Parts: sequence; structure tokens; C-alpha cells
Amino acid sequence: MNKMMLKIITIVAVSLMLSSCVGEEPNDIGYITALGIDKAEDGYNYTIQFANPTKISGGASESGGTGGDIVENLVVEAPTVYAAISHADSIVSKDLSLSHAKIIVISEEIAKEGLSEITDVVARNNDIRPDIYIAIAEDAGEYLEGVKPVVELNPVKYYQLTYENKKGGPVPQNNAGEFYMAYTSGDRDCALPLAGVAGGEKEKSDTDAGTGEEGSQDQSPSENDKNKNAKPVENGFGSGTKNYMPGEAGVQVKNKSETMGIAVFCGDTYIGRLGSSDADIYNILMGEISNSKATFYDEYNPDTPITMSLEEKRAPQFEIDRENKKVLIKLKLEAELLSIPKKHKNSPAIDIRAGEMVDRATEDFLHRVYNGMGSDLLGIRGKFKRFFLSNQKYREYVKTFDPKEWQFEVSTELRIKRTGMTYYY
Amino acid sequence: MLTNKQLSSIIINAIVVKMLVTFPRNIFVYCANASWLTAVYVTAIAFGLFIVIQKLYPSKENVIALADRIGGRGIRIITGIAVFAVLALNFVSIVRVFPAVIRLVLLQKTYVEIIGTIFVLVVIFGASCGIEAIARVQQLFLPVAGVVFGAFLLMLIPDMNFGYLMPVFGNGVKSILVDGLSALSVFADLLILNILLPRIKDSDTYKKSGRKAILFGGACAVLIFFFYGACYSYPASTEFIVPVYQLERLINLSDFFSRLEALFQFIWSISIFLYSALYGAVLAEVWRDTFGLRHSKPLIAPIVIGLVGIAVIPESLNDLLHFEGIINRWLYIPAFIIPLIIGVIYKLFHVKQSEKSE
Repeated sequence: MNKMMLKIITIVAVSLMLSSCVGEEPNDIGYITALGIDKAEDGYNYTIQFANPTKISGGASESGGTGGDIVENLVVEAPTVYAAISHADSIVSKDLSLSHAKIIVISEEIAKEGLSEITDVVARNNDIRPDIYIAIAEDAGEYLEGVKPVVELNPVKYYQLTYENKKGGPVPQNNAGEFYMAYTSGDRDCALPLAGVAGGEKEKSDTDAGTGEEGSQDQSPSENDKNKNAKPVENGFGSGTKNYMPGEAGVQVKNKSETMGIAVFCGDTYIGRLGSSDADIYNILMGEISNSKATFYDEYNPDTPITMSLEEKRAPQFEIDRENKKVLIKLKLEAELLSIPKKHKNSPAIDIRAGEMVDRATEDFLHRVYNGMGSDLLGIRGKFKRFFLSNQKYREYVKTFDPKEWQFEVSTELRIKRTGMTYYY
Repeated sequence: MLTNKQLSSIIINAIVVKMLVTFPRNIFVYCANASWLTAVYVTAIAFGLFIVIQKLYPSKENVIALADRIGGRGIRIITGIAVFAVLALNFVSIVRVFPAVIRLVLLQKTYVEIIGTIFVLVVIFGASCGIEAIARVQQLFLPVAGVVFGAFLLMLIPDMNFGYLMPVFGNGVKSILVDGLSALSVFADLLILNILLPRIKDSDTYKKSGRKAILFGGACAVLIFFFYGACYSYPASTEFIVPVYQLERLINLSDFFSRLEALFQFIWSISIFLYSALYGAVLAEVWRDTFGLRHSKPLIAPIVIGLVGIAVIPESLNDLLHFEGIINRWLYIPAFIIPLIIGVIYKLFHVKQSEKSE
């Protein structure tokens, strides 16, 4: 009997302890979705963007909010991120948490001085996930203020869909974990996405924005001017498209934020920016594209671009000649014709010419990045590791490695599948 | 009596538990990305040493019993204290590190003192249930832990970069062969197998379970070092206190399964509880045998609480980890030397006695 009573008491006691949250209820927590860091006169300006649960679909309003209603921004001047959150905690009723933060946007001014301290915080913080994104913007706070998702009612999902493009797309596919690993190991230099805002545009009414027309072409004059700054691509690959920097595409109305282009780093220091077409090339060289749409110039049909869906059939292969400091990169791409003028259906050897355009575009990209900027984005020095038996010998070699001395040749094998519902011959 | 499976289960668990906490980092500091090679190397050495040691011990007599036969009470007490010290030092850091890790991963709002107190109470309770009971639970639990461990490694494959494992010899051949010897400390728990000899049916069971434990435990150690080295490049790999937890954080199956570390830590926690309970019980038995006492159960609580007292001496967790690093660097020497010396002396003593009797 006593044993039975003991069992019952134990079960009841355990059940009571497991029945609910101990400590903080989820409703009491304010989830930070994004963090912007800009330089201030004394310390940093932290833009803390947190989710507004009453406006998120399924929240208290049930119908969800519109535009930028789903997030709130708060700017705090503080020496560190923790000091900023602590300060913000006294302003916002909820207890702010970084556990669902999806992106950290850092201003170019800070990035030029080095990101090691910030990425160290990310790596050592238990709340922040290692796959959080880092983006570079001219003004981080302005970018976050400009984020007003229209068709997405979950701010975390918005950032995820924007920065985690499985098809490659106009931004490099690197996150904080990869950046941290790249600069601590010294095996390669890293590239991060560029973010920006389409500037000088008059606000559209909330009613219009609520229709979810994210792709509207209603642009203000100033936005069109900015759009004109982007230079068209001239190397055949990406023919007719412009090499946009963030803020130059200007196709959004309500949502002014844009994410395109590459922030190029050397170690942890930001050294320059490249456009959206360059990001496409970068993703090809990193083996990170699938079903990515690319436009090609055809000399037999100079007025009409040819669009293909590109897929990487094999990871890029690197043949490195250490003595002569030359690298031969072999790409194997498979493409599907998406649009081709009818009169040029029998355009001869289009596969070879498209491959040559990829060669030219990638070689041009590598020349600008390696010989111009001096950044080892492909991690050529990391690929030498296998030639050394110990870290010490490898480190000694790396000290003498200068990206500017290296020459690249790219050989692309591009095969057009010509499948689909249209007969091409 | 402990069966072959029960015995191998508890020793495999004891070896692997160290790998789940702070041990891998200490090895990465010396051997860098070649730590997995170091693990292969020390597993081979441990296997060889075990083959030698197991030949020296007769059935049902452990190192303390042999010490008694060699030199009577005095040698027995000296040997017993040495064995107790080795086991206590091997276990002491877990008492403090484990509650800290649990707080970090599972119970962030709970005071570490509360987690530590519950941990100690559970260890005392588990140890009081006896070694046979722990072994039976361990036998049931090990296949579950094995499946979870296998799934854990599979989910890490997308995050691996084999380039991080180069240069193949890490910080050099010397670092593997000389500094890497400290990784032998992961097999210090083989001393428990020796202590449990009186509970083993015959010497064949002792030999089989010991070999199995070294091979399985060694394989797990090699896999953890290999995956950690391939997911975190050197020197970033030396910056994290609990490498296995860092690996868990990389796993992201989808939006709904992006924080699987809590599940893994839950499973590892059961392993650590079983390991700690085993240590509580074994330490009490060693103390009993050393001083010729009748019972070991009343000793469990004072011993565990005493170890907690030692574990909280270092001011911070970092100080404790520094202390643990020093211990792990040298612990393998007494852990293998004590049973080896006592075994060799006993053999010589035994041969002399047989010659006299002839």
C-alpha cells in the first residue's frame, strides 16, 4: 500500500511539474527578427527590428497586418549589442530575445573596419543561430526601416525567402557561420549579400499596398534615375540585363528594400561591392545554382536575347598550377532553352557559344576580384592545404599568397537539353 | 554477475560520455584537424595495453585485491587511494560542466545551482540502486543512444567540408604521436572494468567486453573528431567548449526542426546520468575495498558531495576547464600504469610462490 501511495505521489508530482512553461511565457517575449548596426558618434546605433505578433497572420488580429505593420523598429545608441537590447527592453514591454533573429545588417562604414568582433558575438551567442544572415548596407537602419513585406506576413519568412535563394540568384549564398569559418580559418575570403533601399519615392497608400502587388512597375522619377545608373552587362552572359546594386533596381513600391549584389571581403574587412549579375557568376563558381535563369547574347540574332535555365551538373573543378600561379576552372553546366526566336531555331553551335560567354564572364569576374580587389573569394589558398602535411607549413605558404598575382582560365562545358513541349529543330 | 553485453555497454558509455562534453576540445588544441587520426592511434594503443593488462589478472580479482595479495593492507590502501584519485579526477569536471551545459541548452531560466542539486540527488539515487541495476538500464539504453548518434552523424553530412581536415597531419606528426598521447585519457574508464572484475563471471567475459568497449568507444571517438574537424575548420574548432553541442547547432532539417540540439542533449543527458551514477557506485566500492569496510551504499552520498566540493573550487567554468585540460593531459598514465604495475608484480610474486611450493 505504501509503495502504491509513493508511486501515485511521484506520478502526480512529476505531472504537475511538466504541465506548463516554467518562467517566461512565449507571449511575454518580443522576438527580434533583424538587427541593424550603424556607426554613431559614440559607439553604435542599433536598429532593433522585432515582430509585431498582433499583426502577423494568426495573431490577435487574425487577418494579419499590412506592409511594414508586421515589424516595429527601434533605434538605440549603445556600445554593444547586449547593451542595446538591455536598453530596448526598458522601452518595449516584452522581453526581447535574439533566438529568432534572421539577419544582421551592418553598415559599410563598420564593415570597412572589420567584422570580426560582430561575428564573434554571433558565434559565441547561444540564442543566435549559426545560419543567421549578415548583409552589408550603406545605411543599415534605413534598410530595415524600408523593409515592408507586402505578400509575406511572417517577417522571419520574408528574410529567409529573400536571402536563402536555392536557385542561386542575385546575392551570394553565405551566412554568418560561413563568414566566421572563412575568416577564422583563413582558407578563403568571403562574400556577403548587399542590401539597400530604393530612395526618394513617394509613399503609396496603405490600401494599394494591401493588395499584395509587390512587383508593381509604378516607379517614381527619382527611382527611375537611380535605375539608369546600373550598367548593362557587356560580356554576353546576362545580355541585356543590368548589373544592379541594391537600391538601383527600383521595382518595388511599398517595399523599398532591395537585396542584390556582393559585398567583397578580404579577411574580415569589406573592400568593395559588385552587382547582381556578378552575384550570378559568383554562385556559378561556388557551385550554388540550379534552375537559374540566364540571358545570353547570340551573334546571329543580336537584337533578341536567348534565355536559358542553367543548372550545375557537377561542382566546379580546379586545376591549380602553383608554380606559374595559374588556375584552370572547369564548369559543367546543363541548360534548357526557355526563349529563343523562331527564326534562329537552327542557330548553329549555340551550346558552344553560350559556354564561351560563361567563360568570358567568369574570367572577367575573377580578374576584377583577384587582380583588381585582391580578394580570394574562391578560396584558392584553401585548396592548397592538401599539398602540405602540417598547418605550420601551410600557414607559412599562405603568408606569401597574393591573389593579385594569380591568373584564371575558365573552361565551360555547356549542354543544352532541348527538352520541353516545343520542337526546336 | 554482469554479462558481457552489460559490461561492454557501461564501458562504451563511459568512454563516449567524455566525448560528449569537453574532452574533444582539449585534443583539438594539440592535434588540430588531425584529431581523428590521433583517436585512431590512441585506440590502437589502448587496445594493445588492454591485451597486456588483461593477461595479468586472474578471474574475479581486481587491482585492489591483487595489491592486497602482494603487500597486504598497506599496499592495498596506497593502491586503493591511487585508483580512487584517478577515477575521481576523471569524473570531477562532469559534476560542474554538465549542469552548466544543461542550463545553456535546455533550461536557460533555471538556476545552475538547482540543476546541479537535482543532478547530484539523481546520481546518489542511481548509484544507490547498485551497479547491476545501472548496467541493466545501460544495456537497454545503449541501442537507443546508438541510433540517435547514427542519425545525428547522418544529419551532419551536408555541413561537412573535407578540405577542413587538411593538412592531413594537423599540427604535425609529433603533435599526433607525442601530444596526442593525452587522448589516451578517454580510455581511462577501462580502470572501471578492472574494478568490476569481482562481478564478472569469468575472465573470458572480461576480455571480450573490454575489447568490444575499446573498439566501439574508439570508433565513436574517431567519428566525433572526424565530423567536428570536417564541420569546423581549425583554429575555429578550438574555440568551443562543448564541440558536440556545436555540431548539434548546425543541424537544420526545416523551419520546424531547426533546434534539434535540445532533443540530442536530452538523450546525451541520460547517458551522462547513467555514467555519473556508475561512477558514484564504483567510487564507493573502491573506498570500501580500500579500507576493508562492510558496506558501500552509505559512502555514496558523502563521496558525491565531496566531489561537488572539489568541482566548485575553481572560480569559473573556464578555470575548471583549464584544470580539466591538465588532468586529461596526464591522467592516462596512472590509469594504465597502476593496473599494469600491480598486475606485473602479482605475476612475478605468483611465479615465485609457485616455485617455492614446488
